[in-house]
Amino acid sequence: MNKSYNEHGDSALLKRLRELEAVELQSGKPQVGWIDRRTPIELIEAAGEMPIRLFPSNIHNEKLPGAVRSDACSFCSTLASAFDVNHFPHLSAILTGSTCDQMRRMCEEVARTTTIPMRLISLPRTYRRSIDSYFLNQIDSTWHWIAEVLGVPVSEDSLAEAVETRNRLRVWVSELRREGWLSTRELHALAGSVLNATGLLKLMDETIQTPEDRSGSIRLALLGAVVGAPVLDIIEQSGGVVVYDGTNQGDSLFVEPASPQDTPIRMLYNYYGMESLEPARRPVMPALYYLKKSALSYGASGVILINPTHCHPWGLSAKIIKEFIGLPFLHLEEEYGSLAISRLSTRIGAFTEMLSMKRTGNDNR
Amino acid sequence: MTTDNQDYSPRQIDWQQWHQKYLDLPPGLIEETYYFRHLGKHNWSRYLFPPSTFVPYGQKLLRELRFDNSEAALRLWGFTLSEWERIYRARQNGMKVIALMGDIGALAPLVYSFPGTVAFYPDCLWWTPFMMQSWELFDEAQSAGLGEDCCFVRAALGGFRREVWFPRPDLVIATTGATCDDLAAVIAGIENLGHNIHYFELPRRSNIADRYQTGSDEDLIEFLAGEFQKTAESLATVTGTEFDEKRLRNSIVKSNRLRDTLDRLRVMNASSVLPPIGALEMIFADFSALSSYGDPDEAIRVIEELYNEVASRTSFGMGYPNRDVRLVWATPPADPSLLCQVEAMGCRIVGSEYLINQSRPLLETGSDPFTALAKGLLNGSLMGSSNYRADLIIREVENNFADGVVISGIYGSSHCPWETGLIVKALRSRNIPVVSIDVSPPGRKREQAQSLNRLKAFCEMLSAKKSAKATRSFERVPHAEESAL
Repeated sequence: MNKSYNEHGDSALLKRLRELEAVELQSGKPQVGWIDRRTPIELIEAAGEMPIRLFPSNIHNEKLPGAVRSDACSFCSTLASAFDVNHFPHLSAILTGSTCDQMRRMCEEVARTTTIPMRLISLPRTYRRSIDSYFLNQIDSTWHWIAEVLGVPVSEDSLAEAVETRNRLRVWVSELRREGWLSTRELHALAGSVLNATGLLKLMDETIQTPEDRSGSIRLALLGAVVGAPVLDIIEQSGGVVVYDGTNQGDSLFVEPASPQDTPIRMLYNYYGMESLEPARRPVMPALYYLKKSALSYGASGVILINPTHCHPWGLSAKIIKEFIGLPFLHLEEEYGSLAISRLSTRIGAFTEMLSMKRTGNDNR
Repeated sequence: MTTDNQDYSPRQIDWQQWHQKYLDLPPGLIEETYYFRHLGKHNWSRYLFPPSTFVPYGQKLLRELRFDNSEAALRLWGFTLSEWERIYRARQNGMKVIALMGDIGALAPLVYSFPGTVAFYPDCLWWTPFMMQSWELFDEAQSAGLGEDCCFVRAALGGFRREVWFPRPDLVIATTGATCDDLAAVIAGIENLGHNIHYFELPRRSNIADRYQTGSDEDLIEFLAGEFQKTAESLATVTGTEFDEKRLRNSIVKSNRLRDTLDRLRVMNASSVLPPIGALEMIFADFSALSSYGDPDEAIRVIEELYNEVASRTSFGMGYPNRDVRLVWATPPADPSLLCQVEAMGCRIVGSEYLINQSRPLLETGSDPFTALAKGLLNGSLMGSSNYRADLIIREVENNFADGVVISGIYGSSHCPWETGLIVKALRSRNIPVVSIDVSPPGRKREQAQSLNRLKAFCEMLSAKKSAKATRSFERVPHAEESAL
């Protein structure tokens, strides 16, 4: 479960979220793990299960000797390690969408080391021009698989409701983010929460407050796959604020759906199969345009791209992203799960300081 | 293509010896060995050159390799090493240049069904930094953001950026999905250069044994057949020629002829008492199944001649002596000199899993040709699970009575870190000795020395084991008199 948000100085939303999550975790509801942003989380919600975002904690940063080499993606290998030590003991099933080669191989490794039923949904890497029955069937059959594996009755109505509710959540989160009413720390907490969309909507309704004034901070866009280190804390301590988060923990999970109303399965296909924009997909340009547009529209004056070591879709695209976006750019690689954060602090501090000096210089001119 | 000058005693010689030997070849033979025969006989299309011809062009590693002394092998080398030049010649003659990436052999029959096309794999530029002992292509890739944490295939991006290794392709067909992430990054770099790319979607294949299986092979075959069909549409647009099913069927037949010859060649190489040909010739023959080095008709002639040479040697019981340890090699060594090194250690390569399994099976000729291509692609080395690949290697070991397996990995690739441990474990669980090394980048002699030490220790261990086994078997055989009693 995601516990990456700061334990100190929490907002009302974060405090209440923690209370509700504690209650939810005690409820005995079956837990279904999910990994990637292309996982149709609505399938879990519609089955009445608890979605558990599988972010391994910092203590398992090494796969058992001999199984996975050290040049594997540090996030993927850390997650695989977590299963070696039974870090997620209460999962009834695991669900994930397909992104990169290492992610699929990590799933293979997890499937080998656990007895937890697992489903890796094949989704297109290319942007299809029309609905493709092969990939549509992947989502449809997964829906039936969930019912079979978990032994819960499912209906199209419950799925339609889950899809509609999560879409409402996305629309609202997007609006709040654009207006600056939802911090990135809160966003991360929502993205990794065990509450379903209905619970999150209710929580937001109760707790959203006028945001604190951050006009003096350096506005940054954060990109990358996943962030293991407390990067948000470091950025804030350096005088920056993340206004757009394109990682798999941030705004990219709450993109408003673009497709018109359709059957629930087709809507899921459209959202996760076609509209999801990320550097692992081909051609790569649509994702780059989207990242650039997002960073600029949120008024970012610089970009920090942080990826786990040996994460190829982000790490090996860093230079293209940098050149394409055209903003001041900092690329960091993080040994996922490592507690050595001084290096990150130094580099992020220098970057925000440079941006700050640039802004002062511009103001003076 | 044999002459009276043929030295019938199989042995391996170096580039200088081949240079001397080449002087004795009759000029008529050289004149008659040329590619693109459909364009007529020209001086520029001759390719029967000794390896020494390519040394001044920078292929420095040729000075360290050992080559088979047959004219058939010479022809193979000349044909292989002239590939890049051939692609330029194709362009000069108005042919369409199609770059294939990531499918490793599956799409070439479709490309060649369009007349006036030449296909090539920029992925195969990964040999070049090793052959040239140069970091030029790697440095170029580095300047585009692909450094040492990316597989050697990044050399392909260097090639695209420099624009001197091959002509700008009319179309790049790039496979995406169940391929490696490094190649995906290379392709992104190429896209960024503004190339015309058609993407071929390749979903992963679920093994029957996988608990997370999500689809049947039938569904996948249907999907892939559709992808081949879409690719044919792109090719029709680029070539200005309509797709013709009959031409595709003919192309499949031609591809099968090459694949069948290669299959028989592999079997004969592994089953003969003495190794009739070297591992280097075998790997470059194997890789002809990818794009036929740009000329499918000529590739068939080259490989059939090699097969005839090997068949002849085998029938006379001839081959290289002192190569007792039988090895299967998994993952193609980016540094081909490693193959020569293990041969010098008393080994022979009797089987391989060079990540090109999709280019091996014969394609169906009676069914819909797109379906036939799709079924062939399902055999892909990397599109299935690591277990599937481990099984392919085990099958090679069992079919060819191998004593051990060498896995030559690549640092920073997306599949090696995950599958190597599993393959090693699968092999050891069957008591198959295995050693796994990472190929060192060119020029890293100290790093390479460690790998060579490990290979040497492995080969010595296997050799000792084999000798001990032979001795024990000999001691157990009762003398004739004792048996009679």
